[in-house]
Amino acid sequence: MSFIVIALIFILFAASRAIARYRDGSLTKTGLIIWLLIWCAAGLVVWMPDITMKVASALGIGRGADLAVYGAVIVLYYLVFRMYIFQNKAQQDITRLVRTLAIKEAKKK
Amino acid sequence: MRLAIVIAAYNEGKSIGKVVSGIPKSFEGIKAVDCIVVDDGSKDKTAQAAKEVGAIVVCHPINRGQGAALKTGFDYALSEDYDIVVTFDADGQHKGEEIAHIIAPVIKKEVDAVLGSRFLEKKAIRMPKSREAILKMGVLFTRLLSNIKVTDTHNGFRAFSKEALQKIEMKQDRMEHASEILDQLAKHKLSYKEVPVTIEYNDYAKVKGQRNSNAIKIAVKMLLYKLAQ
Repeated sequence: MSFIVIALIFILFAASRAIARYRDGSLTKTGLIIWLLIWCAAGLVVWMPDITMKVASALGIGRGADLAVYGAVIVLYYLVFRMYIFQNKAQQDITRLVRTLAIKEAKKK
Repeated sequence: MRLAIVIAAYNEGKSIGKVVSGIPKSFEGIKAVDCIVVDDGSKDKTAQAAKEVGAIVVCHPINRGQGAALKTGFDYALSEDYDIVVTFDADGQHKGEEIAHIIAPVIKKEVDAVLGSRFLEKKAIRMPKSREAILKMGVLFTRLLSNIKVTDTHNGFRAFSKEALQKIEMKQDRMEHASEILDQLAKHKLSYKEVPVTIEYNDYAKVKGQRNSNAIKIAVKMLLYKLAQ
């Protein structure tokens, strides 16, 4: 079997997993759409590797691989930013809980 | 008027007894004084030592940081309707006798908040030169970032009216809270003045105190905090 076929089979499997997760509630509708788009894009690139070249040239970037790296870096920055915000909020929530417990306890006596 | 002295303490079992005992029991214009020690998840007997000398003790089950502990003290004081709140260090760097100077402008309703400054009358005893340099840079940084003009941006000796405290938000749990307080004063257009206070750098405080390198961390956190506003 050629690599392309194996890869496409895996992508179909991954997409089916996403649909299953959506069905059982662990994945939101938005999440499902995003993941299906990702797998479609992956499938497209596997089927027509030249497509990355065409998109890259259209954007004025040297190679398809470069485009992939730039895209990945931007996505990573965004994800890290979101995680930072989430962490911060979680820390603040913990502090507020601790504070509530502490004051409650202190007022008991 | 009722006065609350809020002291945030983390593993200060050795000094907290002395610090609380060293606080005068009466002040002019003040009907009642209480020490509120916020034990920030200490692993030693800080809470017990504070209770033994008559302080009101509020205990964080886990350590959250000095900013968080002070805010807990503020919330407690506000809920018990204290009129004036003073923040005071647990490690003996501050002098109890100077509390009278720091609350006077608030009692007379001249300002909403009073900030202690070790640079106004050069009252920093045995302060390491490196610390002085970092603090002076902090002053410049705060002037640029928060548009506040003070001579000492990280002084734990302060006084607030209850009205001022009700407006001040304190979301920074750790040492950045000092910069956040100044930022909040400017944001809510609260009136403030600085009074000279003595900061004594004894060996105990120097070992327990902040590292100068913490300054960078504080600066970065404040920048991110301002960006997120």
